[in-house]
Amino acid sequence: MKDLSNIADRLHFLAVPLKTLSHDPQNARRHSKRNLDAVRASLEEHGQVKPVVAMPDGTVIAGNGTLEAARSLGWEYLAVVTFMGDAHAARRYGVQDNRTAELADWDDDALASILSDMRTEDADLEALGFSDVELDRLLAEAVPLSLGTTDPNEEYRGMPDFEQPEASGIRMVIHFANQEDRSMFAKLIGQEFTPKTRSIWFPAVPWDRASKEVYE
Amino acid sequence: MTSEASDLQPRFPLYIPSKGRSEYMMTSTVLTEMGVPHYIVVEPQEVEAYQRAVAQRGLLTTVLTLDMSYKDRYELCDWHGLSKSTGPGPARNFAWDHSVKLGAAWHWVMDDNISKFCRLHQNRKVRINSPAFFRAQEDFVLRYSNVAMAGPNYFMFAPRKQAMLPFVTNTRIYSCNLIRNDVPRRWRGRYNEDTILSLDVLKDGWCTIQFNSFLQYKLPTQTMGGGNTQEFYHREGTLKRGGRYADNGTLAKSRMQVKVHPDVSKVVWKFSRWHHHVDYSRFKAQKLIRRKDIETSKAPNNYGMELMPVEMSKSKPRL
Repeated sequence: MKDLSNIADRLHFLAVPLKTLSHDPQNARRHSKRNLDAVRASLEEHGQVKPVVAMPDGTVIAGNGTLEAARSLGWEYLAVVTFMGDAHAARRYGVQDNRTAELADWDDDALASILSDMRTEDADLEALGFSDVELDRLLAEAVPLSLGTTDPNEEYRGMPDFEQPEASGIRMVIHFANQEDRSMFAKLIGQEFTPKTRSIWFPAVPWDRASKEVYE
Repeated sequence: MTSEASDLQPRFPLYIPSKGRSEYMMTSTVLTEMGVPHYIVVEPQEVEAYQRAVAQRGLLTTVLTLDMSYKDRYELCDWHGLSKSTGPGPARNFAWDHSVKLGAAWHWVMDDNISKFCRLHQNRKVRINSPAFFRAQEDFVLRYSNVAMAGPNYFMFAPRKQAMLPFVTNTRIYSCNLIRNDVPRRWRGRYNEDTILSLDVLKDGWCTIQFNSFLQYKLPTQTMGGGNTQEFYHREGTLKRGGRYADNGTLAKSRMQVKVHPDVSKVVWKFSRWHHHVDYSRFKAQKLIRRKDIETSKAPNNYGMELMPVEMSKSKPRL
């Protein structure tokens, strides 16, 4: 007796044995593992709810991913609509079928809203074909509260001490007409200048001893 | 260091690809002083030289022989094939796969010319001689579900007196990289592999974290023999007498960057040599997402690190 339990009731009359179907050797669409995992997840969850399209000889021209996923699931039947055009028309249809889907864009806001609702319902989001990082990004945009803060100082709590106050100081350039004036200025502020002195701090700042210390 | 030493060790394996520098082994020396065991990845013809150096100097280094097929399979992003050096990318990919085989979720990979690791705090850049340097960064990135790569900033890019944030997100991670192993990417490019991988993961929607609170002191590019200096820059450009940088030595490098990621890169002449400028601003909207299963304390955790005079330290003074 035929086991058609994986196929939607209204498609039962289209069911053919899987072994009579074959992949289109000229199919220009490649199915990655991730793609096939997503198709498989969908078939497992919903069963087959739309038919694949095949030539009368069983060559699938639209739905090669579904065929491969169904095989890997051990299915024996698949619902098929037979394409009645010639080989040339079949090839055109195969390209159009893939390309039309590819040309559509996601409305990220709407998608994020749907995913957000699903997450509230504890649905398995990974089976939708989105990677963790894609889901995280979409959901983060949809549910700002899930982001936490992006203030680095706030995020950094619980880590080693880090405070880095602005200490660049205020800069100004002082010109001396001659060496005598330079020496007089040094005496005035109580500092010693060497011939190589190019900048100073006032009041004088002790030399940083960072190179003399270490965190063990 | 007051905490249990094992609590401070890195969770994930560390790798140093190296070539022609067995007499230096600078990063290995620093890691050994920090008490951090690590791997060094070298080409088969250099294994003996590196093993000898490790034994002579008592380094905590395990020498791994690079599977040279990684070079054949490497995506160079140009047409020169193996007629020019591949750079460290193949060895870095080897390290990545090696860490996966070890069952690690992340791994560190770093350059072989890092002379010290530091903390920036209260306008001081102080050397760290504790494995907590790595452990703290690991713990931080593990708080988030969408970080692909992280690492310390360069010492020279963190001005001591300037107010800075403890970290910045979504920029290039270079020279000392903590990488999430299940990221579906690998190193590529004869040059700029750090920038290319950073952009690859950012364009995939991941975040990166560059720490300012933790810093690496690395010898400037083209100033140490062996490695890329020998392989690219001085071979491709002309080194003037007394000069540090070869003329045009970085031009091919910058051109490749523009070729691989043209939408965010351009070539500029700056600081007496060619550079590539990359605009990371478009990635600023990608936000860190906290994992719900990780609890974090609000109190600072210094991982047992204590400030002490160099003369009391077990390690030698450094630059």
